[in-house]
Amino acid sequence: MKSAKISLRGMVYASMFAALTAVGAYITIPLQLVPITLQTLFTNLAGALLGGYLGALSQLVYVLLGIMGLPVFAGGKAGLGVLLGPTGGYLVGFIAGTYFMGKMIERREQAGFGWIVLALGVGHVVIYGLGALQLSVVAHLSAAKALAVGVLPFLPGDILKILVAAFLTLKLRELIKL
Amino acid sequence: MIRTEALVYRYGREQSPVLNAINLCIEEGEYVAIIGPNGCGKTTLIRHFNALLLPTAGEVWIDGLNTRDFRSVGEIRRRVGMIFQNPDNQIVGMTVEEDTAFGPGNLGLPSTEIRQRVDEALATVGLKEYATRPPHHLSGGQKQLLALAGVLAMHPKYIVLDEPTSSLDPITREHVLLMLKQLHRKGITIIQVTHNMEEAAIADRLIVMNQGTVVADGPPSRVLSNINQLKLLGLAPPRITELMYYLQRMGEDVRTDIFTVTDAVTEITTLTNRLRQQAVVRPGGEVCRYV
Amino acid sequence: MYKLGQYLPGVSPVHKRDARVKIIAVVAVSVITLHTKAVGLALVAVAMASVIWIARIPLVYVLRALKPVMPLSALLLLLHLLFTRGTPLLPFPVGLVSVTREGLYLGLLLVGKFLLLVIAASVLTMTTSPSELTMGIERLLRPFRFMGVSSHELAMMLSLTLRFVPILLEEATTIKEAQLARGAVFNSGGLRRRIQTISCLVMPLSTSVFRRCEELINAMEARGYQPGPRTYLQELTLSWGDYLVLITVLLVTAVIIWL
Repeated sequence: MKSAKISLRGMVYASMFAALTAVGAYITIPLQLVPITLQTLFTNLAGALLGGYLGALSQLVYVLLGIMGLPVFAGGKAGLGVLLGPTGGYLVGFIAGTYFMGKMIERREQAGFGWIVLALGVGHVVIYGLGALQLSVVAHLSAAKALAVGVLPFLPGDILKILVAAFLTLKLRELIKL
Repeated sequence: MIRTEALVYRYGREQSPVLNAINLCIEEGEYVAIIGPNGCGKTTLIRHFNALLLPTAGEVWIDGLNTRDFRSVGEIRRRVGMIFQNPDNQIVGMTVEEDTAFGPGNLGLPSTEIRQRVDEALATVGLKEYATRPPHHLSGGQKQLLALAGVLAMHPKYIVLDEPTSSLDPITREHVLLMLKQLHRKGITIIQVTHNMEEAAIADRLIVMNQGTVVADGPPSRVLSNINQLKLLGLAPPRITELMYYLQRMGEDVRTDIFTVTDAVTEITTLTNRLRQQAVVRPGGEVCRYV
Repeated sequence: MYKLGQYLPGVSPVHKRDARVKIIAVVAVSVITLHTKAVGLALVAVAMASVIWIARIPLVYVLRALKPVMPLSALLLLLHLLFTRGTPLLPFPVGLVSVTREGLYLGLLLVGKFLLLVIAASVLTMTTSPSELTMGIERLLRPFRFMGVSSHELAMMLSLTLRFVPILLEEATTIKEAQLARGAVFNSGGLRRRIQTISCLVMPLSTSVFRRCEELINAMEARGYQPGPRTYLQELTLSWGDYLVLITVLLVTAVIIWL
């Protein structure tokens, strides 16, 4: 990761996207099966709009916020216990996944819709991978069961959110000055 | 002393500069109001006073420190405190006292010194009892007072305010203005951008800007009574001043450098009294018109 | 009104401990919890119960903290109950699977560990204010740089985030309500339609956040901020009691891990 000093601008934007991610956890959108929250939509946007480094930093701050006891994790969970618990892998996944999303999008000058969707998808593979890994280790579940419980139910909502995020990225990236 | 020398500023490579060769000198202890139509460059101008913006051409000096000199920027920002329009987006602390401590913390002062300054500043603006509350629970006016406390904790010589009262209700606005007046009496220089002419009238000196230049500069009594010029710039003079202006134009013997209702009442009462006396001396049909 | 975190102000000995000591203690308890089996868990549970009692935290609050993790715990218990091979508990199989003693034991053990982790973390956040926690994290991380950020910068970012979560939450709620009032429907319509409905919620929120960012940057610069070391209103100091608790916690943890 970058060792150069972070700018005030970078700090403020990363903090605000951390706040947006936290707020997203409170905005629920009803969907046929399970209601989805907008939390990972802002995770996507953080990666796509802020780039790999600042995006990952914003998710780190979001995770710390939850660890500090603000009920901002999925379902209103909070605390260090969640990070060490069965679903903690997703939290680490948000940080790592956003980094991959951002880095991939940064590779193209003016990334198009398809490339952005692809990058966000790759990021989700990282998130799911780390999430399912910790789930299977901590909860003593087989890989198949971990995937069935920890990935499958979220796929439809996440695909929708990836599409929305890619659409919004095209509209918002001209407005953000980093 | 804040001094600008032929200050020019343009955003990017835009053709017309936002500020066009501004020469200003603001002495210590002044109370200055800056008015002008939207986009006249008043906000851009004051952002040069604490090195938030650097001139495209020309110089800005704060007590002999040049804003271009990066070594002086810290000291300039300590001396020139700035308060912005939106109270919410300038508060960074989780509690009232922590926000007040932000500036002193940036100066690297020891905790004991910070504590002392924070208590002092909060007492000055009257937010002492809210010290440990989250800023989110404060009203708009209280948030603006908190912003003021944050600036005061830096022990500034100048306080520059960018339309600090535009989002406040009339009563809290009065309160904030009273606060500024008190600080001015304590010797702090106040420079305030405003849209409100009644507010501008409180100042000792009024600067009118238009299209990046200073078009009038002087005591409010002189600048504000020039109703025609203000109207040309699309600025509404205080209604009460306008009333006096029209009375004068109708041939009445009244002053037009009047900005408050109280002053207007005094002036009009004097006029009517005078006319009554005249009516006693020279009885005639004409007098009935006045009394 | 939105309440920041779970903090319950108080004057108990638990409240008074230095934030750093409490953070280290929670990490230690978590390590022990993940490391031990049933007997160890019971001991940790007793220890946590006494801390809760000393801190005078009403039991309702503890239960409230556990509520969000209940669905996941139930799911885990069920999975292990149904899919672990071993001695059957019931004389007949339930459909294709059977409930086993091993499954019950493993399920309860895992859920117990998870709940204890959550309780330990909640006790920390219930007895420590967000500012103290931020300062604690700042001081503990002071020697390190993490992802290119120093502890000072991280603390600043946490502080900014904590400050703006309630503001943005209010703004988001207002926008959503306005949209519902204008007849926005989130749960029907084709894909394109849905993308548009959600975008109409997120667009105004994002643009307003960008504006806030610009104003914040100006305000922070104007107040003399620059990334890097700075000083604070409250510097944390360790008392005798803090040292005592710290040493005890570290010793107990070491003993349990090596045994």
